[in-house]
Amino acid sequence: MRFCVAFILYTLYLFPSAALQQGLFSAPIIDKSTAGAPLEVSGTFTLRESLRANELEWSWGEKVVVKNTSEKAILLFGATISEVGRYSSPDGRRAALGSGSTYRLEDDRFFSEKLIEPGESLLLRDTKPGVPSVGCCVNPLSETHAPSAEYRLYFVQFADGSVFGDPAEAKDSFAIRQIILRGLDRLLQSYEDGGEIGFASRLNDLRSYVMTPSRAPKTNDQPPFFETSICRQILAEYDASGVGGALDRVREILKTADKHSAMIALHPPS
Amino acid sequence: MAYYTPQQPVTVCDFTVGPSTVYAQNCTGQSQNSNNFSATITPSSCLPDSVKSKCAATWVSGNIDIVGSPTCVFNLGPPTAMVSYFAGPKLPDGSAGTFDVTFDLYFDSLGTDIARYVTATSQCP
Repeated sequence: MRFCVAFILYTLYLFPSAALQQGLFSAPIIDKSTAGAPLEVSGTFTLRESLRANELEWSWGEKVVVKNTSEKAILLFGATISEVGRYSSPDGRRAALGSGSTYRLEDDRFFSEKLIEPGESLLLRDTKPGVPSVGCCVNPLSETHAPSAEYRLYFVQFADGSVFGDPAEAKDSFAIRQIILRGLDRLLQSYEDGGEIGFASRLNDLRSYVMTPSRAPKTNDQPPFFETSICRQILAEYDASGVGGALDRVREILKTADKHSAMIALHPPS
Repeated sequence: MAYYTPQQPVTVCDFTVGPSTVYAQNCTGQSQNSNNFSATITPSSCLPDSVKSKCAATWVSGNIDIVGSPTCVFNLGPPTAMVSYFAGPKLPDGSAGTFDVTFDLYFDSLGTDIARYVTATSQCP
């Protein structure tokens, strides 16, 4: 017996890779959405794992595409993708080593002319296994199950205002719409109050908040307007085309928002 | 013959992850705690590609038991990760332990991803 243990240890010393088990797992994404979901998912995930003694290294990647299978254009959707690893939680712990993250993805086109049209496909995730997470300890002899990546569409708002799912689950996106609308209104107000100089001054304030967030006045808005992608688009337009270009962009975005507001007023989210 | 070709300046995007200290609501090990982490990206013109970005949370030390996986949100403002965990009992230094929160953000302007992490200490009440 003692000889056997010594032999195994000697072998591991000479050939450390003998103690390393590596695996690459790939399978289609599983759709966990409720029946009638208007965005159909397709794609695969890849899980790269290596086990050295009882220390696990793992990294996930996936390519996920969704397709609008409804007959209506989509204004906003929210979905999650969860990466579920092969190992159960070790005794006394709740986290299962080898599992990845849950990605919560919301895409709101309320301020954009480009809606997700019927039949249109959209790339949702495109990642590859990279720098691994490392964790201890798994029992190499314990039972494992097949890894999976699960997609769940939890909410859709169509361009006509009708919805799939519970609007409460997309409350963050609805809140950000209001933050952006208030931010745009304030920008236009700065033009009405102070002309181009007032408008430029407001843009310069926003830029200084972007550069130094601690300068921004305290607000309950999360995120504040200056951190939204719409604000960044306007600042980019200001850099490229000056006050006139930025003003046109603000008016254009508000016009689009007004159009979508009128359309969804037919079926306002409850 | 060599010709000089003017190049577009490349914007160097980078970010930090925070906070490095979080406060557990409960360190009895019986109730679940949740804390939010976010990436602060500089300069402001850099936007991460939500399709190609990742986040992760892993235990480092002490009495921290991370629950499930972090929830990563990339397209509702700055990237965030919500980490849920059980904490406790309290260690002599007043904390429950530490864990790493990593963001791996892909920037189209760079054509590559950048990974940064914070080792967060969870302080007990």
